[in-house]
Amino acid sequence: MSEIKSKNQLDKIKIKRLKLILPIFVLTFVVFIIYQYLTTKKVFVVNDSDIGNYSRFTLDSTSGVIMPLLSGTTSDGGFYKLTANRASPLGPELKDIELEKVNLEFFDNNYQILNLKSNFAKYLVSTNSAILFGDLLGETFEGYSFNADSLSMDLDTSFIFVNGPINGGKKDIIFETGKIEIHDKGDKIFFSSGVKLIISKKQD
Amino acid sequence: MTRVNLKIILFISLIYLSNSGVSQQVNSFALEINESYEITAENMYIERENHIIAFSGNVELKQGIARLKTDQLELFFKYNFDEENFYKMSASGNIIIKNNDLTSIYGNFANYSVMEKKLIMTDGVILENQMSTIKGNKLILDLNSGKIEIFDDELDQERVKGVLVE
Repeated sequence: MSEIKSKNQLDKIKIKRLKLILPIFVLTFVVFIIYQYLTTKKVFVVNDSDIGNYSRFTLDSTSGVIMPLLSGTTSDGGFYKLTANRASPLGPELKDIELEKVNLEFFDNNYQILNLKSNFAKYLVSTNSAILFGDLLGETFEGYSFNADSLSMDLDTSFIFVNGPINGGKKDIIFETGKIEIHDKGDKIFFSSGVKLIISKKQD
Repeated sequence: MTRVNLKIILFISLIYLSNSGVSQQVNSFALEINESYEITAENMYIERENHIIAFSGNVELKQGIARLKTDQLELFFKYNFDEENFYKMSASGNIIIKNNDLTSIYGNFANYSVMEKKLIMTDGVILENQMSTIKGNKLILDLNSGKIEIFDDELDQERVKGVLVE
């Protein structure tokens, strides 16, 4: 009889302990989640020293959602602005960033020369480069547009590599190609892996 | 009176027959100059400052029934890269221009003026059709009329070797 009693007492003690442990566990878990959230937000602020005074990520607090902005100048004097709807940390030390609904603009003397949009992008802090992919669409200041599989660019030099198949053009000129390299802020453009260009004639 | 009528009928018939023979030759080099330009190549290069688009590697230009094959091709534009500003084309290396496989032109350099619709080819020019082969150093193809002139000397245009006319 005394054995049964002692067993009941032991169970009660266990329940009491569990009542204490469970809230502590839940509290610890919540604190951990909050900590992770806060540290994740910090990732979006990239220290200038990491990327050679070219660019920094900031949070647009007025938007109410995480809206990262990256801007800077390239070695050839151009200016770029990268915005996205959302950013998430990637890789060791959380320095690489994955972006969603990306918009990248290149400017020359405050004049927009190229605008790129994609569903996703990866920004690699160590090389100050970005890779755009997923419904990639590009538009040039001359009114040309193109779509491609993916695009990678060095934000220090403004060199852009577009991987295809790539289709593009404007009203009377259309093209298809496999790969495109864009140098010198778009002054020199190389198409390779097969090219097809059609120049339509105006019908009189 | 009947003899005179017969002579007139015979004369008209001869003119008709001779014209139809020449026009058959011209039709063999008819160009659809209002058709779109379609260019395929291995590589393409755009130089924005000088408004040039250059092609290299198995370049082929199609316009209607005409085909131009060459090693390199350059398109020159005035201000913008569009059809309205396209004013000159230059080809170099192993150029072949064919039209329905009836007439072929071979050469190594060619310039085409969009305004004048004239193509001037130099260096080792050969004009071939079903009937003959003419070699020269310069050839002028008028895309408006289909007329081809071939010269023996690049500078002395007086020495015409052959003319295909409408």
